[in-house]
Amino acid sequence: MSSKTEDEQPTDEEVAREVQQGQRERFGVLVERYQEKLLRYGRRMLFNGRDIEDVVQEIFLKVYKNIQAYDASRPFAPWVYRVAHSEFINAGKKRVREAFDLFDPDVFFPHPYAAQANPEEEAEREETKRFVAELLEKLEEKYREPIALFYLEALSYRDIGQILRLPVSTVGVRITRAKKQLFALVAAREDKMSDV
Amino acid sequence: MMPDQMKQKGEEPVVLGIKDRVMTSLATGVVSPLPRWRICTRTTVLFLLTVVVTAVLALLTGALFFRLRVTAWWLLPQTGSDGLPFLFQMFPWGLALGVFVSAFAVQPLWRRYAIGYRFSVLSLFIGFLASLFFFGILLGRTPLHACLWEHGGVTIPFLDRFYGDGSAQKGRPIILGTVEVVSKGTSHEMIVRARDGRRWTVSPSGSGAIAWGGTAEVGSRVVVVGKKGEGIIRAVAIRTFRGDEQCPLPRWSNKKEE
Repeated sequence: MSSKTEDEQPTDEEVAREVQQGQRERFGVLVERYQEKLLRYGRRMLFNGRDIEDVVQEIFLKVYKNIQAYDASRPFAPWVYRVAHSEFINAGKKRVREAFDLFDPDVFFPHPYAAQANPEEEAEREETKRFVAELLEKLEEKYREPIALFYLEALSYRDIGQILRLPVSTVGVRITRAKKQLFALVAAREDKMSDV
Repeated sequence: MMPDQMKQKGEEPVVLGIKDRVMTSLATGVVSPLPRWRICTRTTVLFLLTVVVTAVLALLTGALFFRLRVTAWWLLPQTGSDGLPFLFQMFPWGLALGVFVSAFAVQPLWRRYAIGYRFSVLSLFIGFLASLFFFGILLGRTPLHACLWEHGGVTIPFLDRFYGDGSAQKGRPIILGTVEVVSKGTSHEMIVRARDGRRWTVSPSGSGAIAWGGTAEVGSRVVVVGKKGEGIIRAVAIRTFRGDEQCPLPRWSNKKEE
């Protein structure tokens, strides 16, 4: 969201800077731009959680309260998603799992993995995106968030790493494994359908 | 009203509800931005907390290594001195627990910073160990070690408990001294002159083998852990240091020395 749109609307970063300067009403622009994204993100993270709209509202209030902590020279989206991630974790039941990240081998060991998807991966992106939307709930929990952020929210590995507080290489590994799980699920589903 | 909003209103009225509620909260002053100074203060406090917890972790880990090294406890199962029960009894559980708790406390703090999440935990851990080894080597190869040795027994905040004569480990005192005579035979006995000038015959504890932390030579300085008898120490662990290291700093005095 950092590039200007066709009719030269201000970027998120510019709007955020205006809010920092005291133009409170400009915060509405950011709410408009992110409310649907965060609702979508929340639905993916909290399948059976609290009322997602309430959580999203709390996220916006927290973003506004801490707006002076945002560094306007950096992209706004990862910062908002980071706040959202923390709030959704607080609202959900993932807090305990996060505390034990120390023992997660994905985080523990360094991975010699490309820092970003290659062109071939980009080419299959649309197809994968469709599968992600359909089968996200069936993926292992730790793979859901990175793959949703990458394919459905179109964020970079680096941004996802910043949001989830994970090394970029770990993000790459999780997305690759999530895709493998996803394609295995698709294959299983197709086998089932052909049997019928 | 913007076209986007109308579209959203038509399709998902609840979406507009969020914006309305947020903007109402802002307008009524229920929520206001935290001033920059508070955010700066919070960031500074968190940074200092991170530094302090990291320093505590490093210190406790260093102390844990030092304690294990001084008494060579980790060699006990191999040498069979008193075996595993003794190791279990003498293991610095408090320190180990402190290290464990600090490691957990430091993790969420570190993950606030890019260095804390851009590298794997193993990389950070190896880096941490490398720093400890670096400082350990620095300590062992520079006059700092000799200084701590020289001034052990003098009141040095915190460090004296690792170098000082007064340290006692579960009732087994540590004796600091200089080796005067080393037995030529296989008895492993030696005569050590302690700081107070008293001479001690150091011999292995009853079970025979002893956990040696190095080769004792005449002039070496040693740390002996064991049971005191009449002029005899039944040692369960010995750590030796080079005898040629000298502290360039003047020996400071305090009440203990007097």
